[in-house]
Amino acid sequence: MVDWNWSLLMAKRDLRKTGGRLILFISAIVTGIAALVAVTSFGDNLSNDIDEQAKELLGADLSLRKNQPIDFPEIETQADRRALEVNFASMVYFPKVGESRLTQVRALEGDFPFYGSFETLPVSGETEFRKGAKRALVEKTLMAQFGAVVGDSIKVGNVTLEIVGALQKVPGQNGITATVAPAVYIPNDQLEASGLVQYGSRVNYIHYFQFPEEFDLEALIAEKKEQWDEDKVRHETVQSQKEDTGRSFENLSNFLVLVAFIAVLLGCVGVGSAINVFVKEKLPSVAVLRCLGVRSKEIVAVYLVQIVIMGLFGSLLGAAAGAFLQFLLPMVFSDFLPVEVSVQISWRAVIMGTFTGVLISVLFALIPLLKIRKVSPMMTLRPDDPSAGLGKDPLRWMVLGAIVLFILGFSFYLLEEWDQTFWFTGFVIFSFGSLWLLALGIMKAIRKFLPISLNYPARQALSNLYRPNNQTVSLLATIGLGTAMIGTLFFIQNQLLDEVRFADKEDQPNMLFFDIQTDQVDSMKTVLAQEGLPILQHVPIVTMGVAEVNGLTRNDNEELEEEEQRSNSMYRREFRVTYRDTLIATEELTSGTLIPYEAEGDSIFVSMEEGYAERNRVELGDEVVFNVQGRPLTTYVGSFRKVNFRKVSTNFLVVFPDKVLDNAPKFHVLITRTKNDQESADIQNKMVRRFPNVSVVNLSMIVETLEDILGKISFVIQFMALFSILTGVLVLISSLLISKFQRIRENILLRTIGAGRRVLLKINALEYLFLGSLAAGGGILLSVLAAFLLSRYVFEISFRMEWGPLLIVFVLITLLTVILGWINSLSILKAKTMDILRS
Amino acid sequence: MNVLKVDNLTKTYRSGNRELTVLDQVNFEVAIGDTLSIVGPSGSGKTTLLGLCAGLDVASSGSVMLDGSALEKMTEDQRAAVRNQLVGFIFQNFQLLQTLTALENVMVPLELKKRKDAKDKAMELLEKVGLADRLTHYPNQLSGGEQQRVSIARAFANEPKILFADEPTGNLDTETGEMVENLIFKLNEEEGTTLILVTHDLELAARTHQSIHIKGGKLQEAING
Repeated sequence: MVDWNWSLLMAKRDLRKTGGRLILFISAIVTGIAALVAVTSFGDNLSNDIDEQAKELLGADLSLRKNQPIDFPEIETQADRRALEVNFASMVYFPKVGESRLTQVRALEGDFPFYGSFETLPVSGETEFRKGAKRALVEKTLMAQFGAVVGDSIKVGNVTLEIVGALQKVPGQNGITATVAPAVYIPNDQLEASGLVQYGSRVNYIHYFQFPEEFDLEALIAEKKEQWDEDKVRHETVQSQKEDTGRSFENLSNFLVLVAFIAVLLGCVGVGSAINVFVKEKLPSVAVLRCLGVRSKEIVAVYLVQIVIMGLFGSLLGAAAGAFLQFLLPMVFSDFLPVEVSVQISWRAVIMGTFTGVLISVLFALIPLLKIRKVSPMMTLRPDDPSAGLGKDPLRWMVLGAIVLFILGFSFYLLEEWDQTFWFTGFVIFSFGSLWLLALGIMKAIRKFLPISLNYPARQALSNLYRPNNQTVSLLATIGLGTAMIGTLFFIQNQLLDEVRFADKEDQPNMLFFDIQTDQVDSMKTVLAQEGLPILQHVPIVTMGVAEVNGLTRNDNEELEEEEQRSNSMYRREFRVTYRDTLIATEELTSGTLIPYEAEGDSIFVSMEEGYAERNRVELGDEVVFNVQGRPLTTYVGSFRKVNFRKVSTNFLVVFPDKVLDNAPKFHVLITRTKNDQESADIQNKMVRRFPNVSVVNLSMIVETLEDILGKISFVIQFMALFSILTGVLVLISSLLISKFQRIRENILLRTIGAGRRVLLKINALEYLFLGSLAAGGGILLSVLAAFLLSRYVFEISFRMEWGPLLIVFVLITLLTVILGWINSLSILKAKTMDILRS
Repeated sequence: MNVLKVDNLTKTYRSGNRELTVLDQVNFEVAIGDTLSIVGPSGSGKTTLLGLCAGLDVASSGSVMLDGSALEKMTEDQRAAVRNQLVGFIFQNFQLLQTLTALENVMVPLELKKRKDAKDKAMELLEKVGLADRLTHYPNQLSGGEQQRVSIARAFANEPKILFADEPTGNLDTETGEMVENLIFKLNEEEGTTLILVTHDLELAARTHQSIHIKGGKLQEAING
């Protein structure tokens, strides 16, 4: 048994002298714990707020959605209030600037939202809008884009409306949704006049209901669910909306906690490394205590108690910082949040953060601390004799195992999936391991190959990287991993943007007109021809559903054993298909052949997208009966295609052969290529004015939207990466302070033998230049690998090296390291020679 | 009666592929209350012998009987207990715990023995070595001679049966060295402790009842004082 009384007494005595230094060591975990507590607290608050504001998320008790007009007379009689929203994508024209943009038009009838309200500027905007007539509410981002102000007009289809308010917030919508599809609310009674809802328009009809408080909604849903499924009606309730939103934000908050956890781990590497220096300094005292008859476990206990106390102190400091930091988070994440997030201290987050901080700092500190167990008392007699020093301790492997288990456990707690847990833990171990090996390799290489011919300051600076008690490994790991995170972020962001911009570099389509009615096709083609624009594709589109697959209707399918069933989504889906006998540039045949339809009575062979077929267990030769506006059409799967969905093009899950659908009701898409943005804007405006129901997507809009979204996402990730960088800076500062006395002695020695101030400054600057550039370089190598893997396996885009952003990250991180090191070396240089010689 | 009996003591180290014999078949005995000096040139094996006798290290072969117990048969923790109960140490470089005051340094062995009067006893010892006014000073606030006096007080704190001193005056100037030397012998006599000291200093060695001379790891001669 450990004599805890004595160990505590000794720990208390030791802390008087070493407490300050231990705080310094432990400071590395403060930022990580702050991030962890802030993010967990924010997640807890968000989850509570989603629960509390669930009604405002949906704005009603029940919503029923279908892509065709439908009525629910029975439900209407039971409801207190009802509203209808008809929403669809359409061009909206801003006459003041003569420009237009694809938006989401929402034609509203009734007092939706029943819970919460539209937040508009001016506040009277909502009331004005409710008066009906030609009034509209427009999303603030959209108004800002075209410099529109309240009182201006917009043209939606054939109708011109007055903007009566800028929409600040729409129930259940966040900033990102607004970026992708900014909303324009118009009164439903203007819809018909707009002329926008025509055949083929992709329209959603959403009915909102509010019921009396005592109404049994569950019972209604149970009764109607089957019928709604049959009618392809999607229903949402407050509860389901709460669950969906809660789930997606739980994923976001878990992701953020993982990023914060990386910062904690980085801090712990710093702690481990600092404790290593601490332990080395303590070895003589340990040997003395061994001589005096103290057992090794008691000595370990003396230092462990101190580390627990300091770990607790650091964690509490971090938790306190985190509690304040969370005030910032709603601002950082504002674009992602569908609800108002309150700021309260989550004690669960504080306790979890503190516990994690103490546990993990103790685990990381134990690795060097266990050396104490093997200190021989002979060190008192022979302090410089290595044989009197340390032996190997199998317990260290157990501690390493415990660290890995902790990381596994913690990430599983957040990710809830073992494969993701293993990937994450593997990534962490790989990243730390590779940076650790890089550091060791560099130190070994310098030791072995440092040329004597190298000029003295550079040689001295390089050899400082492996001086006793150096922090090279921990600095490389912490700064390197922070760099890797930021590097990967920039890399991926640029890769994604380039993938879209790439379309502009080749002779690729960059403008797409859709929702074209059959009788408009010829006129549009004429306009394009007059403007000298090529028609790269003309794509007819027919909508249909699946009635049977291999003779099984949806009901038959549901009766099958679960493992034999196909996903019901295939039966529910509204397929938009085209017909042609050839492949287009974004497609590649992977099996079967495109079999043309020659004459009436021939079998119809369709081509299906490979991934979709695989997900729905459809095989070549399977019989699929489509329902084309009430008419069954029996087809066979004749081929599979691989489709590149990322190009500006029309891509289809199902392609019919030519001739089969010639007479089916359809709408059309035309694709062209403009030479520049001005030409794009001109033709877009011309088309929108002449064909108001036609929507336009152009490449620059996609790039703009993507840049906007990636900008918002990257801000969040950069914010989180900041914690890793800050941790790196703290480790750097603490390692500079730890080695300060040693550096002073070295500098004094060099000064004594004649080195000038300039030489010393040069040595210090070069040392940090090497350290910073190696850490940044190592991090960047990791980020290249991570970006390569992410591009290839997650985003499935081709990987291209991009030196520009990486060079910027490299220079900034190196510069930061050099500046911090340099500031520290200035105080070192001030030390008086005689003071040191006397000491 | 012997408090220490060394029998065919051999210590070898492996250095690369080579086996290095640092002590070779050393035999001697020390009676209770006796004083013994171990002398010899640098690297002769004196300190190794001291470490083995005090149970700080384990011999490759042979035996050390300390107060009737065979050290080589004990675990490290058992030897630690023996050191705490029977042994006192004085080191050339004082080896005080830098984070403890002079008083606390002396209290440590007493606290380990769970002595309730640890503080009083430590104060008494520090008074004996002339440091009553330096109780709350940390080692870095004391001169070399003062530090060695704290170290002597600590060595006598647990009332050891045997005291091991490794070049106790080696880091001190002549005058202070002489003062420390006198103090060790005075306290040794008062407490009736057995003293074993390693030294280069033949004058100091001459003050012990017997001396052994080590050269190349071998016992050259035993000189009875």
